[in-house]
Amino acid sequence: MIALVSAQMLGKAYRIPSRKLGEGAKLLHAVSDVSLSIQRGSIFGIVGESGSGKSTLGRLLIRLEKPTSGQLYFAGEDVTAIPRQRLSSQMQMIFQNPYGSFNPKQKIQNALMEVAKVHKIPKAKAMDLAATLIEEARLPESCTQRLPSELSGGQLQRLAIVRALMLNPEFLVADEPVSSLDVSVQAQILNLLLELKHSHSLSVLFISHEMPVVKAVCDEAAVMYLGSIVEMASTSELFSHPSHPYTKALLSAVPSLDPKIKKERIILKGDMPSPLGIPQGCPFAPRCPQAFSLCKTHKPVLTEAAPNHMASCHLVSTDKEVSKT
Amino acid sequence: MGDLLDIRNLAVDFMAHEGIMYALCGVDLTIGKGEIHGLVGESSCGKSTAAKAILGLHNKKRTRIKGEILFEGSDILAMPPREVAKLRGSAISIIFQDPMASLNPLMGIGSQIAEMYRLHENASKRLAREKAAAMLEKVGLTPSELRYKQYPFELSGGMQQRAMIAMAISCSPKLLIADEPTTALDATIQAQILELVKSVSDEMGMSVLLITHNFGIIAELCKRVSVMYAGRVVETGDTQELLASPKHPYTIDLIASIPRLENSSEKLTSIAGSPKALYEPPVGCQYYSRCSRRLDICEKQYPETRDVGAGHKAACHWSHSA
Ligand SMILES: Nc1ncnc2c1ncn2[C@@H]1O[C@H](COP(=O)(O)OP(=O)(O)OP(=O)(O)O)[C@@H](O)[C@H]1O
Ligand SMILES: Nc1ncnc2c1ncn2[C@@H]1O[C@H](COP(=O)(O)OP(=O)(O)OP(=O)(O)O)[C@@H](O)[C@H]1O
Ligand code: SF4
Ligand SMILES: [Mg+2]
Ligand SMILES: [Mg+2]
Repeated sequence: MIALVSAQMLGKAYRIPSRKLGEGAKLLHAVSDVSLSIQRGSIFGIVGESGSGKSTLGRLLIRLEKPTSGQLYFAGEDVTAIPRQRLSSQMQMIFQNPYGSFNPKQKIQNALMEVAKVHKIPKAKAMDLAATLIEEARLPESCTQRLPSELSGGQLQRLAIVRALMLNPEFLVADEPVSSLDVSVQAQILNLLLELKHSHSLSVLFISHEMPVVKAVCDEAAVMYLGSIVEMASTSELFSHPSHPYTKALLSAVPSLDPKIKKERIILKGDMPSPLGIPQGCPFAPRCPQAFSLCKTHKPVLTEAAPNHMASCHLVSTDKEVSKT
Repeated sequence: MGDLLDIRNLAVDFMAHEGIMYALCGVDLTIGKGEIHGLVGESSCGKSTAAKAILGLHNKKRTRIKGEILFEGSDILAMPPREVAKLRGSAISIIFQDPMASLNPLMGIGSQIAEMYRLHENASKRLAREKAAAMLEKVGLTPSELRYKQYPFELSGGMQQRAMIAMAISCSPKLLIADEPTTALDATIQAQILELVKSVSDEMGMSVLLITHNFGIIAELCKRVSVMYAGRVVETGDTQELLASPKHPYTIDLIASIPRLENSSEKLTSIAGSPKALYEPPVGCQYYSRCSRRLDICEKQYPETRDVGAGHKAACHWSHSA
């Protein structure tokens, strides 16, 4: 089966102009060598440290930004060969910051009409669609008559979701789409996404920090660290058998309601290395509680830790070697 | 008495285009010195509206505010605007829900933090620069040489949030109002940031009003917690006690909706129905139409806030009768 979205060795480096005389510009590697495929009707989760390149990857996948390396295919076609207009009608993005994605001086109603117009949807049809979605998102009807500043954070976030879904996209990049919602409204919205996945074969790249949410809605998930994918598997496999030490630390840090669980947390020391000069060896080595000599000198590659479960960690690859012999 | 902030019967009405909207209808909330107080509630129940009222940030022409907001004993609502402005950013600082709201888009983030120090501590340029760089390190914006000079748009969402947090605590406020400060942070950095907030609170006696949807954070950080529903605080108590035995049906239902790592079903639990925006002052309990424990009296009579345990209060007829 051809994946709806397929990325091969995708990379993005930003030029950081030097602020010192006589020094050249440096490159900030926000995303490096990311390969993944997203099937039709599936939700692909991205988790990872703040600043690890998740939003940048999302922008690359819907062609909001051009990659500096690698290839991207949409339904098997090289995206650079697909006309812009066609691409943009099939892909939508819900941005991480809903405040930044609405014009502060424009009424919500007008913002919604504007996207409908750009995508050539008849006005009446767009109104209908928006009204249905607004109800499903449990928003009051009156909210469309407001300016963004007259709405609550969670209301605005839900309107960003409405705006993306009313175009009926095939592929949706949802960057922290429910981060400002209480758990009950969040569940309502996520159930809506799950429904669209089943009824319309909607495919989603779902970026989130909430591990339990990723586990509940995503079919597969990848963990990013410093621009690269360090682990990738089906969510059930990833959460039951995390194999990269960063994934383990991330899962152990999820704050718990139970005061007794606190003690088993893996504390990471030190900071993420600079994306300007990614160190030799494993990028996680400086903070890894299990690092050994090989990690400081050689960069691990994604290897199969189990069937359909990839991880880039020397512990995983050496384990494999040992079990092979 | 020992309370730094004492909000009494706070009401905020918005003159919305469709009519007068009663956003807050009698909020009571107290925060002690050095206390980290959690505030949770359904989206649009009025949490940010309450936070903005404390700082006098509502548009005077289009809002009507009643009640009292006592800060160190004096009523912020009765102060002249100049004095309120003086409190803002010195004694009280806020981290807005919108991560860009207090960042200057045209200035490197390091300089913005340094500026803050210079204003508040009267520090020299060099000292302010050093302090700002150290603060960047503390919130994990490393390497600080790179991050110092970056503009807000060059930072990731979580980095913008951390820059805001760094700014908000660098002026050592007595009260920090943090409106969903860590929504864009992964669990490991979140833990580091919350640890930082806690240590500043412990060392300098800073009080914190922490608005969040994350019960895990509440459980780990907050001594007390208040739950809001449709413009009122419906339950307040000691965090451990409230989470272990919630008394208000909304709190009970909300806690039941928390997604947990141990769960395996595909569908997530949510509370049926939605709150209605109030265009008339409320008569009965606002949760009535959604409440599975409702009694006849609930529709007609507004439930008062009463003690339901040691330091534990709820506004609900059912829990009062239990
Ligand atoms: N326009 C830009 N110019 C320069 N650097 C950028 C730009 N956009 C992003 N970056 C850098 O790229 C890296 C990855 O950022 P990105 O926003 O993709 O992270 P993220 O994983 O989404 O983080 P978060 O969870 O905090 O939102 C960061 O180091 C950031 O500073
Ligand atoms: N300036 C305004 N004019 C009219 N209505 C407003 C204004 N600001 C907020 N509201 C309304 O008041 C209600 C409370 O909003 P508020 O921002 O306080 O909610 P919140 O509890 O912070 O929600 P969230 O968790 O979604 O951020 C909402 O229904 C919102 O639409
Ligand atoms: S007062 Fe009545 S309707 Fe309201 S929460 Fe309590 S039991 Fe339910
Ligand atoms: Mg991001
Ligand atoms: Mg809010």
